[in-house]
Amino acid sequence: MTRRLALLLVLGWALWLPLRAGAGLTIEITSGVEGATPIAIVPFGWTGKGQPPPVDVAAVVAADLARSGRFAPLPRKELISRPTRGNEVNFRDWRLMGVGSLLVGRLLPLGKGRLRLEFQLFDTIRGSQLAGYSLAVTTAHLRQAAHYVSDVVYEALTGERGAFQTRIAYVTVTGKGKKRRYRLQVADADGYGQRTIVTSTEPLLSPAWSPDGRRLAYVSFEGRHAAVYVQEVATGRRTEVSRDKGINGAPAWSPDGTRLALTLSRDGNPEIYVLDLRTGRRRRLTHDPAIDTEPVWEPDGRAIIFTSDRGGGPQLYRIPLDGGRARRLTFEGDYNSSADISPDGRRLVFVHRDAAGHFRIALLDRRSGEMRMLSDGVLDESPSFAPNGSMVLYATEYRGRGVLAAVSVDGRVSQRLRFQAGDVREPAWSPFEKR
Amino acid sequence: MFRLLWEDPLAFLASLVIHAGLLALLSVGIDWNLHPSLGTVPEAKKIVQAVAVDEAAVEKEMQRLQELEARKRRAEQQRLAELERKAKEAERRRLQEKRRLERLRRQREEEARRRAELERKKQEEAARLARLKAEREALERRRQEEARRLAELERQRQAAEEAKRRAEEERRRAEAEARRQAEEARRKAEEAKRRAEEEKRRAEEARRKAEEARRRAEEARRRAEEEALRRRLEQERAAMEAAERARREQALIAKYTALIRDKVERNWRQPPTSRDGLACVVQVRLIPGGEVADVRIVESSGDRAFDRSVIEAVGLASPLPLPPNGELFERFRNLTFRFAPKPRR
Repeated sequence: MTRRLALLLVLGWALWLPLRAGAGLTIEITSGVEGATPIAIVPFGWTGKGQPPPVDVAAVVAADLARSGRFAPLPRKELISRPTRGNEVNFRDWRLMGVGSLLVGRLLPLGKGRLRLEFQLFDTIRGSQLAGYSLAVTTAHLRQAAHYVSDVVYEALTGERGAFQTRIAYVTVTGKGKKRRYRLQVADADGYGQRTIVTSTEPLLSPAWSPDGRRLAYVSFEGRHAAVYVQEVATGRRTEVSRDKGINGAPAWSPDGTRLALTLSRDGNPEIYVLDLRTGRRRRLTHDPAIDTEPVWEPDGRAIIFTSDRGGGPQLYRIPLDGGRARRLTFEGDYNSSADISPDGRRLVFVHRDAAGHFRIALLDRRSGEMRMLSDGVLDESPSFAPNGSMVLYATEYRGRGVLAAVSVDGRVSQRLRFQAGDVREPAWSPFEKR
Repeated sequence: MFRLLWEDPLAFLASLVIHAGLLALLSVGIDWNLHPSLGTVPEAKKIVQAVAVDEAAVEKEMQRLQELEARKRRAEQQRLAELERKAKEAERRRLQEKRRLERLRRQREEEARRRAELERKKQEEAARLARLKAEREALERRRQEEARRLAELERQRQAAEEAKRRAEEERRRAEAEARRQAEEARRKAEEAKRRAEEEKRRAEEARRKAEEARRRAEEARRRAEEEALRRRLEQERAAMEAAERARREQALIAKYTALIRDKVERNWRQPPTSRDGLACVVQVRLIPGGEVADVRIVESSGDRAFDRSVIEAVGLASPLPLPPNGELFERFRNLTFRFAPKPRR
């Protein structure tokens, strides 16, 4: 009886199954592979006569996307075809190459150093266009146009704003002895297009971008005394905003751009002050016999995160601007300093000294309290978030030389930026250009 | 009497006339013996001796009596005259009577003689009549006898005939009856025989039918049993096959589901932004061979990179591994994938 019942049940189930087939099977996917998303970026076509433009747009875009850590552009030699327009694309081929996204484009001469840049981003899975633009550019700005393409692609595929048209500021140190030169430099986010903002025989430190991206605040030891300057990037015009006795350091712009948080030791001990740039008035924020320095503003402008050794070793603390006690944020390790905060305020990056005594860039998820290492150097410092929060720029050492490196916030992709010579340190990632 | 009248009317008439004459003679004789009586008259004087009541009345009565006396005397005179006349009359009549008596005596003698003659004739007649009567009676007797005899004979004849008829009848009847009975008996016998045969036939038929029915029932039962057994075996076989098939199919489905999952997971570039709790559901349509024909997001994670990674994972995993020879393809034609990363450690 039970056997027959079982048979019946099985039979019923077997009969029922096909009915269920209409709804189809449901398959749970719980884990993927680590790694960047493959993307095919086909060299842009050139329809003009003679020499093609000096910038390989596709290469710039590929480098940008690769550096983000999110994408893995197919090596050119693996491209199976080189379409430059949508109607030349065989999506299936690209799918079989394992590519879900495809960027094609071309350049058309408009004369007098002007070009038309056309590009289309395709979803090879569904055979649909995800983005497509046509814009006129000058040959001189072709590289910036390439970063624009990167931004479009990045945003189309991730939903987040790309940061490829942003800039970075940093300090280079060259020469020795009397020939030593400190330069405050600004370059494209990929390190190209570097230009010098300030040159000094004395150290330059702590460049900080104003929220509008037009000005830089920095510390200069020129005259052998630390002072904080605010300088317009475009014009070079600068203003000394703090030259007090002792330490004048670590400027940080308030989100509204009207104030600077500074570290001053005018009272004998480094403390955090807030300087109103319009009135010049200063307000002391911390009152602790320990060192309080390296302030950064919460995105909402209502609190400041800083480094203090009031607990014995340097740790990160948070103090509200409208009064209240500072509260400690980091508890792992005996050295956590030099914080930067992500644009959404959810994450902190800072220098963490690990058990091996190596100084590495760490990322703290403020909600989960989870801390991860982003870098694996020995003396990594000055982490700075990209304005979209997807990457972190920091200073590291490579073959005995200070260099800059960018790491994706998941720590998966880390790439050194190439510079011609000298030590590079104190990087600061600019905010977005106003759209 | 009537028969007599009928048989001899003349004799009868004669007899009648004779009788009538005799009767007449007798009545005349009586009349001859009758004498008139005169002694009764004095009776009337007694009536006159009545008592007078009054003068008038007496007068009147006297008058009336005188009158009456006058009348009586006149009547007496009349009566005496009458009597005289009558005595003469009677004398004349007596003479007359005497002559008449003489005549009558002669007549009587004549009569006697005639009567003797008549008597003689009557006697003769009577004798003749008697003789005749006797003869007639004898004749009658003979006739009657004859009639009786005849009647008897007739009766006998009739009786005989009747008897014969009856006997015949009886015989016929008996015969008919016998025949009928015989017929009936025969018929009955035949009927009985027929019935018996019929009965026998019926019984035979019934028996045959019963046998047939039994045989059929047996056959049907046997067939039903065989059928039931066959069906049960078939069912069990089918059920087992179905179960086996289902098991095999389930195993196949499980195997290929795992293969598909594996391939999709290998092709899923889990974006770094995939935070805990992100999930994306896509519906995928396959074409035979496992090629992904269509990917449709039915439940977005809200994160474009995540959704995009899901689409690419499925699309790049194409063709998805399917059971060989298109088996169970229908089960795989429409797949639903739910991408939900395990929480990070």
